Amino acid sequence: MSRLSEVLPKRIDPGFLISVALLTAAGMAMVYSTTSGTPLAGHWGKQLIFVLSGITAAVVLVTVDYRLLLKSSPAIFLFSLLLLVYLPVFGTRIAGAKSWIKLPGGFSLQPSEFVKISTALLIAWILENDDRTFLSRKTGLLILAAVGVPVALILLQPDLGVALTYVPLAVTGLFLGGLRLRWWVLSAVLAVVFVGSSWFFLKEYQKDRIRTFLDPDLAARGAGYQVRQARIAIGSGRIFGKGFKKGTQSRLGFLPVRHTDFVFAALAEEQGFVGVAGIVGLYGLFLSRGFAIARDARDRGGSILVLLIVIDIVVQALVNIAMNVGILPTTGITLPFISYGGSSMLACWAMAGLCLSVSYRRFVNV
Amino acid sequence: MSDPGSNPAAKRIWILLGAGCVWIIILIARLADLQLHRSEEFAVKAKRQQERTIELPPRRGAILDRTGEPLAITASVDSVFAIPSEMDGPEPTAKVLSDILGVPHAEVLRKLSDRERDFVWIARRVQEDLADRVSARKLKGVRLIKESIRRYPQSELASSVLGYVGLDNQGLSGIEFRFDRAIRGRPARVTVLRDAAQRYYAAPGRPLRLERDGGAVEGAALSLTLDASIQHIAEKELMEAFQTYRARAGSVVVMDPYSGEILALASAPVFDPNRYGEFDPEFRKCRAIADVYEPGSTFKAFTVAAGLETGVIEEGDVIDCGGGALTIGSTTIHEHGRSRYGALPVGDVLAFSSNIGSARIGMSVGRTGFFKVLRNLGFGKKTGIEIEGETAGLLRDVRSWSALTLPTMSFGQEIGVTLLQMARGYSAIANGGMLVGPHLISEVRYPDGRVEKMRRPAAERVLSEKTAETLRRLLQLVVSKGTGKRAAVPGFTVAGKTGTAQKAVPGGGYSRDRFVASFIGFVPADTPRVVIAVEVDEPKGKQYGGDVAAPVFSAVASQVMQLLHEAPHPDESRTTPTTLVAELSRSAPVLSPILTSDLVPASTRFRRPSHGLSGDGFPDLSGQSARDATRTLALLGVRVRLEGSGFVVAQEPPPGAAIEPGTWARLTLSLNPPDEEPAAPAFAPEAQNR
Repeated sequence: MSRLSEVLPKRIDPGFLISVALLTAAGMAMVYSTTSGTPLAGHWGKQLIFVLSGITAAVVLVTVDYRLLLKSSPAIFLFSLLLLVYLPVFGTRIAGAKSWIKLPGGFSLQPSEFVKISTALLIAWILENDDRTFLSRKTGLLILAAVGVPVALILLQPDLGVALTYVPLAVTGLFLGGLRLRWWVLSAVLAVVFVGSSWFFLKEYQKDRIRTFLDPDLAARGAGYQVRQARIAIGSGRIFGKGFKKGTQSRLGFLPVRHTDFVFAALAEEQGFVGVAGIVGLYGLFLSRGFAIARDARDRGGSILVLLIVIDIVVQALVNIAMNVGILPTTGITLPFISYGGSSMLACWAMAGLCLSVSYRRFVNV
Repeated sequence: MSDPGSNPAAKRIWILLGAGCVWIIILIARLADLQLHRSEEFAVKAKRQQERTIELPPRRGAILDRTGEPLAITASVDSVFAIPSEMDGPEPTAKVLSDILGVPHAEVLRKLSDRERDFVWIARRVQEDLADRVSARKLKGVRLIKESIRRYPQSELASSVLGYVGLDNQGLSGIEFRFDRAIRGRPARVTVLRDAAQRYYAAPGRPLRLERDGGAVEGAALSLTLDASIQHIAEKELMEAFQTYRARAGSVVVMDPYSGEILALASAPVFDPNRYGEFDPEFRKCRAIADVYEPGSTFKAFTVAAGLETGVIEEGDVIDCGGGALTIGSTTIHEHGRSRYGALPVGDVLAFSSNIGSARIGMSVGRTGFFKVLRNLGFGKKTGIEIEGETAGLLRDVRSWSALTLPTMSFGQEIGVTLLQMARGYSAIANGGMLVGPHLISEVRYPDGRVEKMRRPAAERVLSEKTAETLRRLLQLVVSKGTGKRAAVPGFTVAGKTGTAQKAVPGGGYSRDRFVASFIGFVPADTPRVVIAVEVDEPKGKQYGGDVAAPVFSAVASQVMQLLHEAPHPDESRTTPTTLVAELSRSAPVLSPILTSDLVPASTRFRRPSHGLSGDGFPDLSGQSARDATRTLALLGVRVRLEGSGFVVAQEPPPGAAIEPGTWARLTLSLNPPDEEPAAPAFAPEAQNR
């Protein structure tokens, strides 16, 4: 191990690690700032436990050869699916969805966050075995199935927000695998048709969200409230923000779920444009270093695994931010590494650990 | 794989990276738009919803009587409001609130059902126990807030003088209205933070304490010249006559003739300013200053004063009373009751209230001279007393007088006066000829410790010492042998004059059955301490001032003299001054002392609450009436729960216990007091006045 400690800093991508570490630190600070002095004050300590577990998971995954994981990915995938199947039957209903497995000590796990990892592993494994320039029909269908099955199970819970975070995995997988242009065009057409027709299947509250997204002032007190309050929080933060623990929008309770889905707005209020530009920059750094790791990976499987993970996380982050700033309708999507939440934090760090594992093993002679 | 152009997979990676960058740029642009370009707009929106400039109402200053006893105080009470947007379902909450507060269920439900609202009053200024019950239910979205309320601890006492205060802390009549600016104080405007649930904070996480964060300037306290004890006596005796004679109205003025200080200003009917809305505006008038009446015979004192002052008559003169009729033009003036007098000494003109004698004196004085004396005595002008609603009365200019005006005005017709003007005129007789300014406010005490003594209006000489002295002597005859015998006060000489004025009928002439009965006088007659004026409007059954008003005067005067610790003069206990004894023995039976059950020593009639006991802890209240005990505790800032009625037999906390602000005391009352006091409450509870 002594050798490992010597080579580790040289082999692990420092930029990637720094971006993840800083994002997590910013998240800890924001959870503290938005919950201290409120009934949620204990959340900061719990978040610390989540982060430490996440780091532990990452360290474990760095030490494990990801190729072993890729090879056994079908088995891992199937096993993880069992958890999703278990949920609708035995899961605990929280906020109207059976998304949680209760653990002793007051914690609970959201398997859908972890199934994402096994899905990424499976897609990477599928694409490693098909390295033609353009995607074969069989590989394409496999990828769709790898994503479709867990998404279907998650929608049963139902948890639209988490299900949506699987979409980047499918798109990225298909794109990297080389899905032909005509299929993209067809998908795009189908997507438009689907989105258009889905209006009739959406629940009323979901329609409200879209309506109020289009016109937040429509119902200042009703469904548009969150969007409007988030915008006020962000805008009133100005360049330098109101200061740590001084975000009045969040501390006076105008900003809803300010430590989870709208933590970005709280951060924008307290740290201003400078602060949030920094956060967006850190995701940019995470993205670019992730791509560098993928570029330097020793094999196609590792490369695709890193791309899947990095793109999935970054897309989730950018969607969440877009929701906060009011350019996408709101749905329950957390801000990776920053929002309060055990499963999300654990999964994000685990995925980061996988990327670092790929980075660590980029030289053939390890 | 490192060369982007050479490999389709690498190309795809660059496309993805490019897409990510575009997205990031879009987000940054959006953030710049919100936080840099439009930040002002959002900062304003944030401020608008987070900050509230609230007006903190100041504490209204107390109104105290001359001994410091509170007549009007400001108390804190709870108001109930709801935040419908916080509620789960309005139905059960509406039921509970409606049951406790007695507000109609439909109304509460309507208020709570408006889910968009985040503030709605359910009930303002509710009773303490109801507020406690609401708060105990811990209803979601229902809160209490402290509001200040004006309390009149002595209920009806001096209510027409004090006035009352509206819901918005604004004085609406009486002293409350006139001195509103001084006693209202200055509200503080504070900018506080407001959270999404409508709670107010001084800073995030720090709840607002209005006392600390407020800074409203408390209103000034007013000290009155009124004496609550005398006021009570006056009100009680007036009310008795008012009820006995089923009168339309009535009033009593008790004033210090030297200083012009008003010691009591009573009106009947009365109202309770704590519940002013329940009374007809007629009940809220301060009649002694607002009601104008034709004084009738009480005015003859001024006619004689004018005669003496102008020198047309002297004390020893005998006036030709024309045998009961005096014809002027086509009108014949008669004596009341169709009496016939041949010639009467000046004193008997007053004592037997001769209309013709007065008319003759007035006519001797002449229009200009009479008018001048009356003008000097303040008739036809406001006295300047510090309450809203004073009227000037009516003293027409000499040029518009008819041939009858002078003779009829000489016995109190064709002139409109207020009882206060009459009391002031008699004060000039009592004090040796000086016209004083009647006033009610002695000082204004500002919260910063500044005390502003009210400037007393300068007294003016309007009658010579000699005229006043002569009149003081002559007016005693009214009580000793004339129409005002029932005004006599055992142990004291009384000077005064009765009045029984027919009321003028709209359209001309005088009513045959509607009268104003009055008695105005002072006691002791030669060294007057107080002037007391009594007026009863439209008494039924009896109508003479000597029957209706004089006994009220007597009752008030005897109690006031005891209260003022005036020692009864042994020689005067049965008789009037020696100079008049001869005449008295000849013309009237010796006055026998009227000892009624009312005339028990003042100390048992009126137990004054002890003051300034806060240093000694809780006072011993046992044996006190509920009213006295409540008043004592109110003064100490202690709130009271009463159990039973009558006298205090037990108290919690016990005497001597430390008093902290906001302390509650529980008093157990019983109609049978522990000591030897009679069962009837010495100090009549409100019920007696109703």
